[in-house]
Order: sequence, then structure tokens, then C-alpha cells
Amino acid sequence: MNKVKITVLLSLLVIAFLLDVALGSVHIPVKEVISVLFTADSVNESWIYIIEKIRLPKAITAIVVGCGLSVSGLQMQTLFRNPLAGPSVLGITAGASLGVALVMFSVGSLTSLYTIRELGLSGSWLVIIASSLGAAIIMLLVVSISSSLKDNVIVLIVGVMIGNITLSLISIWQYFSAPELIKDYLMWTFGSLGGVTGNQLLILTIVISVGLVISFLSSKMLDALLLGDNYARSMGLTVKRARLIIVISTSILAGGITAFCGPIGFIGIAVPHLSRALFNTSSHRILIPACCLLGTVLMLSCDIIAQLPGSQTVLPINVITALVGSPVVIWIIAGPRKLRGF
Amino acid sequence: MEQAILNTHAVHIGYHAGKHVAGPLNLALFPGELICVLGPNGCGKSTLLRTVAGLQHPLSGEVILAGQDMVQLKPRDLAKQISLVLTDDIRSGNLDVYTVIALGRYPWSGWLGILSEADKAAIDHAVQVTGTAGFLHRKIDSLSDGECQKVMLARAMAQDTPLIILDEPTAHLDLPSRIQLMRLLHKLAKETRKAILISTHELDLALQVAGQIWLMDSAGQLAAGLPEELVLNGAFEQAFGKDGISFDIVTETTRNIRISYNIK
Repeated sequence: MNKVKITVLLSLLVIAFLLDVALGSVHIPVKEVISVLFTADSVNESWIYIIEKIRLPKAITAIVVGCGLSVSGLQMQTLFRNPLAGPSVLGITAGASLGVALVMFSVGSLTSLYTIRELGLSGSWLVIIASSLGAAIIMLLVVSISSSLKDNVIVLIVGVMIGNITLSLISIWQYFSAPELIKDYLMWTFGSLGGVTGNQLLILTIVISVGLVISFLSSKMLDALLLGDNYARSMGLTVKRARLIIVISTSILAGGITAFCGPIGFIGIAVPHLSRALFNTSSHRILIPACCLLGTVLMLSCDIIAQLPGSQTVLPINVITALVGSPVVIWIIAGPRKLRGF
Repeated sequence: MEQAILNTHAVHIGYHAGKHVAGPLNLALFPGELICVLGPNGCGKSTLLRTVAGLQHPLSGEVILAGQDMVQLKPRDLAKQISLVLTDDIRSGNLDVYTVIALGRYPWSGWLGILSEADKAAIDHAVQVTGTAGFLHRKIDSLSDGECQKVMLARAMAQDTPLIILDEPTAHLDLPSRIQLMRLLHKLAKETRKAILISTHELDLALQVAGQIWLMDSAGQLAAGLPEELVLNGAFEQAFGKDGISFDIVTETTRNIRISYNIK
């Protein structure tokens, strides 16, 4: 049964990937897309450029972002034992944003994707590290406050408030910045899969792969945490160490993606629930790959919609993830299946 | 005489900052024994259980488990000796019963948690002896309190430890489920030769099924012994007499102890 589901998801992934590369403001026939992808050859020179330099990197970014955000959301839901936990909800992406903002500030420049890119290779690493550290610090803060709280809703509120504090710190800094810098920052907060190319894409892919591997190796620890800290401890888990490892991999995933693509919402909350519903399991050994598959398909689909195929306009990716993700969250809380579990 | 599974040597229990709860305690747990910890609310039953379970360190003294000082044991080795059934609520999860029971194999399974044939056999055995086969594929949040408690017991059985500790396992159960669970614990201790330590408020049930009773009072005194012994030496009267409960040794009941309540 699972094999059928995986086969269907893999086919959807291939279709979504091809469509994502084929569709856009410039129409390129699917046949030509496949030709460019496999033989790097086409009847139209500019099509090769568009696909290799713009659309292919963007599709790969969508895959990386889909995997990373979904798995970081899954880990947070288990760690906080909270079905509504996710990187954008509990202030983790806000922490990452603060990290990015601080780097820009100390470099004496502005927080925009364009500047990050101008920093070159060492700059990319710097931004990723700052962003992951920012995410980790906020997450540790939320973890330490929430460990003494039993109520899920209160944990959620604490996370949201810490996120607000972080965002206001960024706002204070923005307030003293020039208007064009603020505009750049706002564009960044809309989220974007585009423009991550070459070495940056390589760095992003490496960082997210490392995060995913750590996460997969933690699947047994995550399973134990499903019953809560006390049971996990009684089964031989060193809870503090496990928490730290999970915080680290979650921060790498959410931080890395936020650094290059901006704070992208809803994927992190929605995909883990869809994966649990589809594969009907709580085992992280299955859920982590499932989140990667579903997250990728969803992210590619969001990107296809964002391009408004046939038109010259491209919508910000956050608009689409919110439109797709919010109904899923409502379905989690109020839907007939009551998927409030984690 | 059989080797004890666990001994405490002059153990004082309590919390840091000078909150001494009870001690010195010299206790022993033997295979096949069902031990009930009784005592009024707030007397330190949970503290005692947590200390014996290794969840908190004793203030002084040693807890010897499998011939070793418990403090020295690695978490994984401790988990192979003691399994727990706690009062923590786990039912907000999307978990199914089989997954929960299978988690009991945690200290035994490989690094990814993949179950071996031996693990599966241990799970099947745990399911069989606890009578949980009927709801193996249901979600945990669809179970009644009694069923849920059986599942958590099955999880502890799957962990395959010589000692199982249950913290107030009958707390939220209705009377038939309470009796059923106590009978099950009694049977498991006898048949599997595990030591089972429970804390409970079920005075009458405990007196009927327990092989040994640890009776605590609010002053931190602990009396350990057979139920009959504790009735005869007046320990029960001392702990509960002021609440209008009296204890007599009689001959017509199986356990030879009659409890009467002075309700008016």
C-alpha cells in the first residue's frame, strides 16, 4: 500500500517538476524542456538560458525548501508535542530573520536578498550561519520556557510573542533605515524561490542535506518523544541531548532556507499533517521521507501557481503558501478527522 | 532465598534545598512480587517511586539495581531493568496502539528503531499477556481509560524489564476496570516472575492482591511487610485509624483481612 502511495507521489513530483520548469512568462514546449534538461540542446538558444539559469535553479530551490521546511515543522511538532508548531509559528523564522538582519547591519549594508548575493561565497556562509544561530537561539528560548508549561496553547502563545519581540527588534532597525532598504526587506519577507543560483544553490543544498541527514538519524529519538519526556527518559533516551540535537537540525533547516528565500510560511505546519494522514503512521523513519516527498510536490505546485502561467506577473511565494496552507491548518483544528495529534 | 532485583540501603528521598521526604529506607524488591505503596496524599509516594525508578537521585544512600549502584547505570541500561507506567497523558497523539506498545522495545532495538524478529516476539507476548490484541490497530485517543492503561502496561511488558513501576495506575478507572487491572498485575507478577511496584489509593484492593505493602505516613515513616503483618502490628490503624477506617483479621475472606468504614 505504501509502495503505491510513494509511486504516485514520485510521479506527481516528476510532473510538478517538469511543469514548474516548463511554465512561466515565456512559453516553452514541454518537449523542448525535456530536450534542454537531458541534452542541453534546444531549437531556441534563449530557452536554454532561461531553463538553465532561471527555471531549473528555482525548481531545485523549491525542492530543497519543500524538504527542509516540512521536516523542520515535523520535528518541532514532535518536540513541542503541539500540532500547530512550525518554524513560522513559534518565532523560529523570525529568529533567523534577526540573524540575517544583524549580519547586514554589521556589514553596514541592507537586508535584502540582492545584497546577500553580492557578498559572494563567504558571505553566503556567513548569512546561513547567522540565520541558523538566530533560529537556534529563539528555539532554545522557546524550548526552555515551554518545558515548564504543560498547556499546548500557552506554549503556542509564548512562541508567537517571542516571534513578535524578535520582529519588533528588526522593525526598530528598519525604522532607522532608508526607505529603499525597507522596500528591499519587505520584498524579502514575501519569500522568493528565485535567484538562488550557482554556488549559493550548492551551499543551500549542502546545508539542507546535512540538516535532513541529522534529522533522519534522529528518527528513533523523535519516536520516543511522542510519549513525552518522562516516558522517553524511562526508555533510555537522554532527553536533554536529544532536544539539543533536534534544535540544531531544525535551526539548520529553517535558518538556511530563511537566509536565502525569506520567511516562507505554512509549509512547515501543513505538510507533516498531510504526511501523517496519508501514510497513517507516527513513525519518523517513514514520516521524514514522506514529508520530503509531499513538501516537494506542494512547494513545486505553489511555485507553478505563483507564476500565474501565461501571464507576465509572478506572485510572491508566501501569498500562495498561505492560500494553500491556511485551509490545511483549519482542517487540522476543526476538520472532521480531528488531526490534532502529532 | 532469591536474589533481590532492587535494594535500597539507608536511602533518604526528597528534593534539593533541604526538603527531606522520607528515610532512611531499607527496602527490597523480589521477583514475582506485587508491591503496593499506600499512604495519604502528599506523603511522598510519588517521590519514593521516582527515586526507585531512577527519575531522581536519592538525597543520600544507595539504590542497588542488578548488583550496581543505580546512579552509575547508563540510561539505556537502566531502561533494560525498569519500565514505567506514568500518569502522564499521552492521548493527544495520533498514535495507534501497536506503535505505542512497540515503543517499549526502544532500549533493545537498533539505531533506527527497526524491529527485529525478537522485538516482534516480545511485543506479541506483551499483547497476549495483557489482553490488548482486540484493539491493536485503534488510535490511542479512541480508547477508554481502562483500555489505555492496559496498553501502557503492555508497552512496559514489551520493554521486558525485571521491574515494572506503575504510578497510581487505577486513578481514573471505574470499579470493574480497577479490579480487572489489579487482577492482571497480580497474575503478571506471579506468572512472569517480574517485580511489580505500584502506588495506589485502593486500600481494599491492595490488601487483597499485594504480596508486600509499603505503608507511608505523612511524617515520612515507612512500614514494609505482608498485609497481615501490618494489620496485626497496628501500622494500618495508625495510618488510617483517625479517618474512621478499622482493620480486623478475620477468617472467612480469602485474605483474612476485613476493612470496615465508619461513614457516619
